[in-house]
Amino acid sequence: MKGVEVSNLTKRFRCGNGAIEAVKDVTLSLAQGEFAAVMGASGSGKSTLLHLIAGLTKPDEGAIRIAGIDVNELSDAALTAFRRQHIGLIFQAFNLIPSLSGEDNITLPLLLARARPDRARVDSLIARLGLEGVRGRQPDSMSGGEQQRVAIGRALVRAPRLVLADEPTGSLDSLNGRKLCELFGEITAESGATVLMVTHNPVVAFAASRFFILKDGRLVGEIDKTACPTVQDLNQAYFEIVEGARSEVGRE
Amino acid sequence: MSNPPLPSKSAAPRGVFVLIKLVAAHNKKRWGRALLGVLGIAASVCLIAWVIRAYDAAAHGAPDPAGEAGRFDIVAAPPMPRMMPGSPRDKGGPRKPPPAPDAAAQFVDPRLVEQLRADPAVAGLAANVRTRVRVVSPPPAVELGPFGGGFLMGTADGAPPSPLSGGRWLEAGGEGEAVISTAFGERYALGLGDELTVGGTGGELRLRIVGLLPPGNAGRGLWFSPHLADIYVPIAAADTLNGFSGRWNAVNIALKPGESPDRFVEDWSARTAHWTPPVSFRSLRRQDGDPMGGVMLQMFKIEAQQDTVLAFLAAFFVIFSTLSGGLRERLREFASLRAIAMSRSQLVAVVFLEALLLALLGWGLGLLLAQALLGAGNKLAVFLRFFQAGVFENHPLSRLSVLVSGACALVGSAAAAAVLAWQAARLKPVDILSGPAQSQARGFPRIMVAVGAALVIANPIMVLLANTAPFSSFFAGTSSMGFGAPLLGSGAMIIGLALLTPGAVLLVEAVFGPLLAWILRLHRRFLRQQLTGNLWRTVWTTIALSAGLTLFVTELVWGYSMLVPYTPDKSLPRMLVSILPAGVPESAIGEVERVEGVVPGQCLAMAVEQPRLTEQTLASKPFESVDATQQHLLIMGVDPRRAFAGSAPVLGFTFLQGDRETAARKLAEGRYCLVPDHFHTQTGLGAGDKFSVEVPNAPGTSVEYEIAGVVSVPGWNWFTKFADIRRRSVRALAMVFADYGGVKADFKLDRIAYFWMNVDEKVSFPAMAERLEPLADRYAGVTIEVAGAGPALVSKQYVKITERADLIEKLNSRADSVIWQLTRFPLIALAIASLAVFNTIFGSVRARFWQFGILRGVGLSRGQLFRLVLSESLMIFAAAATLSLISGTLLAWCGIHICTYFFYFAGRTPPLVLPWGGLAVGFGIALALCLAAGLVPAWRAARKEPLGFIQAGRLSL
Repeated sequence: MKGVEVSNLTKRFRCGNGAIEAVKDVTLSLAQGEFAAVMGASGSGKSTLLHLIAGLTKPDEGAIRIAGIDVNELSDAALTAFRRQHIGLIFQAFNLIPSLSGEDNITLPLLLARARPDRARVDSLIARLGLEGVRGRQPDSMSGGEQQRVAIGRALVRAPRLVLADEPTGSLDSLNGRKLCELFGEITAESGATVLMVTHNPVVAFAASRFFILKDGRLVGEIDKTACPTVQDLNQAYFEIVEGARSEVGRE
Repeated sequence: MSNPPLPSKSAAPRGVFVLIKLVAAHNKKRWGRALLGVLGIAASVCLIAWVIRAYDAAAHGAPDPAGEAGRFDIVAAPPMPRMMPGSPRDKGGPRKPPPAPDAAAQFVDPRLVEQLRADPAVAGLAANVRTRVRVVSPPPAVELGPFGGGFLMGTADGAPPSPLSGGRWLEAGGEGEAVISTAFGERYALGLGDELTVGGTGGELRLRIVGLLPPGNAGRGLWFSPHLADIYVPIAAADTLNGFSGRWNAVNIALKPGESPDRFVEDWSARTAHWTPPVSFRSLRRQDGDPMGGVMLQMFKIEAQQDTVLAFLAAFFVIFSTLSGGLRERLREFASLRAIAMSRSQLVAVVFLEALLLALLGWGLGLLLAQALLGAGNKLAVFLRFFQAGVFENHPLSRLSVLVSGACALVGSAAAAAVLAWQAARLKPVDILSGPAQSQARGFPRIMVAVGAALVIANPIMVLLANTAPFSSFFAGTSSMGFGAPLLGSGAMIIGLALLTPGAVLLVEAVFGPLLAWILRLHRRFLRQQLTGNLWRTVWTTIALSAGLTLFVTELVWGYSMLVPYTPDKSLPRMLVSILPAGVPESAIGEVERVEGVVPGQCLAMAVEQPRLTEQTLASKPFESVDATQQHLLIMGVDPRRAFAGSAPVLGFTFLQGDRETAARKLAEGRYCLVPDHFHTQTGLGAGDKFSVEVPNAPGTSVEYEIAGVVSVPGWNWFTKFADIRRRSVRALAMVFADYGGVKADFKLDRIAYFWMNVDEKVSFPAMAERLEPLADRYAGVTIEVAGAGPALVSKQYVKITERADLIEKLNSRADSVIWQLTRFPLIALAIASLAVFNTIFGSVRARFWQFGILRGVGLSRGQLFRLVLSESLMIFAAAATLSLISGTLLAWCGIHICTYFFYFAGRTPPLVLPWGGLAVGFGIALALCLAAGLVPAWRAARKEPLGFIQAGRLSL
């Protein structure tokens, strides 16, 4: 089944009198249900790539197809509806609605889609994420880990086809970050969602099964987890690619 | 995979519910800010409802709710003299002088009374004579101003016009009795059994008060109520006081049951349409209409409309700043919602729903507030000086006031929401990446400065063109274009000033910021971008504050500037003495000059007449701008040498054309005169030009004068108004000086009633009046002609002195009262707008939580943070004050010139005066309000722990 297909994607940003190419001619694809991570240094374009795929901004060149649908061809309203229905977004800075409770934040996509929440599913998700204690509390009384779990819950409540996570553990410590990633991986595996996670942390990235390496906006390498059984292996392969030694590991 | 299906219709209400939930949740969390917004709207709604209700009560004429009209249904009286000049500029074509007011029209035709009695619809009738008298004793208990006295009604009616509140009515033959109105009693601290002495043309009378009558005029001045008076006396007593008998000017009519007052008025108005003297009929059952043709009501309507617009603007800016502040804080939140699941239309709906929520709550609260104010009493109605408080006692909020206030609240909120919804709709989901700081605009299109400047100078240009041929002929027409152009110019100027606001904010920040930093002991770098950090939020708040402050400045500058040409200066002698009603013979002039206290050589006897310009003169081009109320001149016959020549002329006028010695010589030689500067400006006539006037005492004859010079005579209007000099017409076009002997002979004057004199500074004018009274009385016992009534025997005379310093003090006091009354609504609007400042500072603090957390973390003290937050409100004040001072002064300047073209100022163009004391009060209030608005947010910010800032700021990132 088709997951995500990105072809020759390019995105430029105006800077003064010139332009910066944040993403240059990137082509990649993910099968449905695949968990992949996008790695790269700060400023490599990985977050921009994620936002392009999420439809938060439009590319200057190239195409993005999700489950066979060219998202660039959709109108704003259709794209919003598509995103609401089929894409779960998780951000580093949580971006919860401060005036809503934890449960309301989780069910917000359902409510905005005018869909009646499946209480059993919502309760199960809340329990699975360990959020029973913060159901009725507002974000300003939650810890960072709790807020991020609420954000994950919000992303997963509609059982989306595609989950896009931008540095989901960036605001957490490494232990909590790893735990969260493992939980995240379990839930998405159960639901069969395609996951694309942006991170600069190999420990967090290791939860994925495939790794895309970006450097200066270009896709410079791809790593299969089978070729890197440990985090250290992944780390080494990553650095070798970034420094230009190899373009693919595990695909030779 | 197909596109997602559209939501079913049954899902739509759920969708709206979610949006309402979002709005409610946010306002519940930020309840303080929401409350501020609601209070601001409520205050504006209350203001609007109050203003509309008051106008509604007056305009639609509460039918005599308390039976104050009494037992009479109609009053027949001479038509009110036209006191308010219309626009002097009529449409083109051959000019025909408007009809002159008829001096004999002070009384009705004696046939009228008999004919009315014979009308089968008439149940009863009281023919009365109503005249103005002076109160000799007791002195007034309250400050009455320069006129004093009251209206006296001589009546043979056997019953009071309405039920008495005490005592009894006049008895037939009760010569020394009087019934007074309770309002008059309060003015002179008089009650039942007290005595008072009143004086009229015929003499003085001592009266004992036997009855008290409620005022009965439901808030209108007695000037407009010929059926009422302050003092009621038997007809014989009135005849003694007046010096004449058998003439009526107030015929009160009671109709039989079932008869229609309106139809009676219509029938008799038609029947007497061509009578001479003319008579007017008015129904007393409805207090609608204005005997002066609706002019006062029109002025009140304009004032009410202005106040409504001002309150609406205040409401709009309060709503806008509340919503705007909320939006800015929630940019990240809205971007999140757009990224996750919310469509543009849903986001727009959220903005409008929030505005609607605030507007509805504010409207309801505002109406409750207005109703509570009503219940608190009608004391607030003293704002409306044209009418007495009693008019509004029982008048509830009208449907119009409820509807207009609601419309203003809803339209204001919709307009504010529209702007903000447009901004919100432009949010892209990718904006979730950028915090509020990055999405705030620091710049503005420079084209705004160019367009704004162009619009601002459009008004002064139009004003200058209005007085320059050939453009002046366009403005001279009373077509709506000619009159509307200056109004459009003012509107353009206001829009231009609004467009210049961003530039003004930048300038103030650059200029004032370093100074404020020094005062507050902060590094100047902290204040950089204090305002421009969120330029548009600051701009809106500045405009909100400036709306009320600008109008305040405009009214103060305009008002005090307009006063200048009417304020006498030292070129006029210290005292103008009036010996009334008959004056003294020629032979007594020396006695007057020798009264102790009169500076030798500084007493000018004046032969005074107030003749009408001849038809030929009125029809000529220089006089085409003169209308019916301005057809008379005050001719002051004086000794030319004593008045103008020598080393110590009594009249120290500045000569604009001609010189003293030449003028004095010419005046003495023949029919030459000196005219005031405004006459010259209005007519274009100067030295060498001629005009002619009629001789009132010799109908059919006229006198021609040649102008010998033009002089500046500021303040002659008020001097002559209070001195009772204008015997033939209420208004006069100009005061003109000619030779004493020539005026006396030409106008056939045999007695002299007026003296202009300089008096020893140690002698007060009441003391001077006391010294002159015996002299005046010695020359009583003569007969004078009362216009329309015939000969009247003067058995007692009195002296009235108009003193320059006293006059100036009274003028200034009255002007202060009127001008400051005008400023009440701008100041209220300013207070409401300060809520916008409060919202802005709160929003600004919230938006900078993260920044404050970092600053506190690296060492900024609580005190420094307090001063930093406060500095924003001070800089907003500085921006608003600068903008308002400039714009208010410009608008006042334009307004002064516009007034002189379109309203009667007869050639006077007042200078621009900035009353710094008054302005300081207004700016002081604005500063205090801004400080108060900034204090709470500053104090809260100073109290917050650094970590609290960081944690709260993280939520907004």
